[in-house]
Amino acid sequence: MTDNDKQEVIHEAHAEELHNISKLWLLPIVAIFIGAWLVYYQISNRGQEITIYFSSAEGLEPGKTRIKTRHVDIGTVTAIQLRKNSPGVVVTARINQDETHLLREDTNLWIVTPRITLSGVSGLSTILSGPFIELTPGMSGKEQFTFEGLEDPPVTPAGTPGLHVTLNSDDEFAYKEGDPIIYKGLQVGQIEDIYFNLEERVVYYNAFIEAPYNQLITSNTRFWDTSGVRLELGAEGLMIHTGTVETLLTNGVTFGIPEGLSQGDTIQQRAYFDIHASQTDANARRYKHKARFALMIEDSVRGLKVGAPVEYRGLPIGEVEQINVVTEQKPGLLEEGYKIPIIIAIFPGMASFEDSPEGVQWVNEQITLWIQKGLRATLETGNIITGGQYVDLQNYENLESIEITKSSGLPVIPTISNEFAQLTQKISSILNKVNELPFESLAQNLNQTLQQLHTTAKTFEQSGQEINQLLQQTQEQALISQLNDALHALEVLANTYSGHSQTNAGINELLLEFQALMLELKPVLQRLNETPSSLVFPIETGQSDTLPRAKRN
Amino acid sequence: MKQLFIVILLIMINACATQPGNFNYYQLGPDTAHNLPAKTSDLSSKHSVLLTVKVPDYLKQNKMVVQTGQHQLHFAQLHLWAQIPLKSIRAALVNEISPHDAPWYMVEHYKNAPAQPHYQLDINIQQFYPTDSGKAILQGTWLFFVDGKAHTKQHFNYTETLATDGFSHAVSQQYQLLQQLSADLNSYFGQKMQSAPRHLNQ
Repeated sequence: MTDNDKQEVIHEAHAEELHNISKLWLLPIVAIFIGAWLVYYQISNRGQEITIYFSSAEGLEPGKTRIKTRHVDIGTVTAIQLRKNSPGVVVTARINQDETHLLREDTNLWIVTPRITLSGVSGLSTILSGPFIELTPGMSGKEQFTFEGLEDPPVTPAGTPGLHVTLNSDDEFAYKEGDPIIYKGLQVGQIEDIYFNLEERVVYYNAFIEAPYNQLITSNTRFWDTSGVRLELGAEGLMIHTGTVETLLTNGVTFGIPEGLSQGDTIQQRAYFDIHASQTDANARRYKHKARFALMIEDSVRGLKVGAPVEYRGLPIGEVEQINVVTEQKPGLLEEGYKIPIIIAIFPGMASFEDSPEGVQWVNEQITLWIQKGLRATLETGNIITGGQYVDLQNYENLESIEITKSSGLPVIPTISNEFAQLTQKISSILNKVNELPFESLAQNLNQTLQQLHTTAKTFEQSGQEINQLLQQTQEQALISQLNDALHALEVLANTYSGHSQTNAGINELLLEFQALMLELKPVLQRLNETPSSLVFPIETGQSDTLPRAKRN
Repeated sequence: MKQLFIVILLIMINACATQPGNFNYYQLGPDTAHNLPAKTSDLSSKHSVLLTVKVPDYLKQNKMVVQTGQHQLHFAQLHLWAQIPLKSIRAALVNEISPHDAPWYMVEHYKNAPAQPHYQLDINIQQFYPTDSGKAILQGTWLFFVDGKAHTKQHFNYTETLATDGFSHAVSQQYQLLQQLSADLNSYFGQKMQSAPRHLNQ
């Protein structure tokens, strides 16, 4: 091939524009879309960030501490910072996207840690797992993402069916959150929070009565204290009141409807009630209308207390309201003849009349009529041990008609001394008469009589001693005679068996003969021992005994 | 077998045919009965003396004993006491120390006394036998008690010469020894009772 040939072959290049994008660009574009989708997915599912204010972040750790509701994880603490411009901490957390509907205006959050109270023990599981934040869902329709954390768990979880009531008390006793509300021994509710009104100087307790016990709360319901053991020493004697075992350690409130009252209307919304000191006090406060009277007491009012019963022939119809009230009475307390003014209240409702102004009017008219016919008041001792007194009204016959007076604007019921006072007066008069007796002359006569009696007694004593001696001698002689007989019998018996007695001698002779027999047998046995053959074969008889010999000269 | 039985039988018959020894029996007592009180005595007016007698063992058996050496006794095989010597000695002393006219009398037991006696006589015989050297010996002590308390203690030693051989003469001499002891005691009681009228008057 030549160079010309080469020139002929070479053609001019034809430039052609490319209008299509390379398919390779699809790959980064898809990657970008995927990345963007992942970012969006991550952002959209990272959950709702919330802010919680606590006084302390003890035990909380970002990234570890969980937020739970009903023991289900719904979020995580992401950051903890100190709160600016105020004490406390700011805890930032994220709630799972699916659980953001729980975040409402009335949602509560608190830190769960081990907790030991008189009401019980809780949060023990966090000893190993560490603290977590408990969330109770709110029921409000308004969303909220910033919360004030609770210091303690709420006594009643939000949404619990029941009734909120507000109790108030101006007594000395006080309650705290969680103290039980008891009904016939069952805990039906708790004190939720406490508020002290500085202006009224009254403590208000917000309490919650759980369903279905909230139906027990009616317009006639009365609350009273049942804390610990309550002892009452009154005119009716010693009374002991206790609640449950729990209320022996803590405080407690119970409630009920006083006897004789209707059930009343059921309470549907928050209502206000007083806490009375005792059931008796609560029952006494059931009557709204009362008729007031004054008593002018001449006797001692020791043992009479405010609230002491007023009885008419044994039936309670009222109570003592005030003792020693200030009246227009001229003489002072330390002057002779001072009568102690006492105000009593008679409840028409308690006396089986209508508890209304008409009932009060009727009682006033009736008491006024009875006073003219002999109605009198006395102070009676209701309990001998405690000395508690009560006011007793009774009609007395054959009394002089007296005019009704008033004291402090109240009609006065006349009083008479009670039986004990009358008895005391009688004893005093008797003692006065006794004092007038001529004791000196009587004493002289009595001394003379006693001396004569003493002389007579001495003579009688001497006679008695002589008689005793005579009897003793007689007995001793008889005893000595018997003893002599017994000793003689013993002596004869002893002589019979004594060392020189015939019986003893006979025994000795028998023993001697037995001994002689044994001595005779002894040589025979000795011979047999020396020559056993002598039992069979004859022995030599040639030997002879040695004889005593005459003296040789 | 039959022959052996016959031999044994003959031997036993031979043993039974042996002549037994000639035994002689002796009684300790007076030769005649003239010393015994022939009259009735009123004991209510006399004082009783409780008598106790202790003897060696050879006087509590019936073989006659003769002393053949200073510390040797021979027990005769064919000469025997008719009664154990202790009984005979006690009876002889009771009789010999209770003279008919004496204001005392001997008793052997409490029951024979009207009450517990104030007096008690304990005679302890230590030697009472003949010898082969011509003697009969009686030695010992007596102790006199008044109201339970020891009052007098005295040793006695009497000897009689044997004139002839044999036990018969020796027994007679032994009884004379007991009579000598009784006579000395009677003499002592005679003096003692007179010097102690308090007891006599009781």
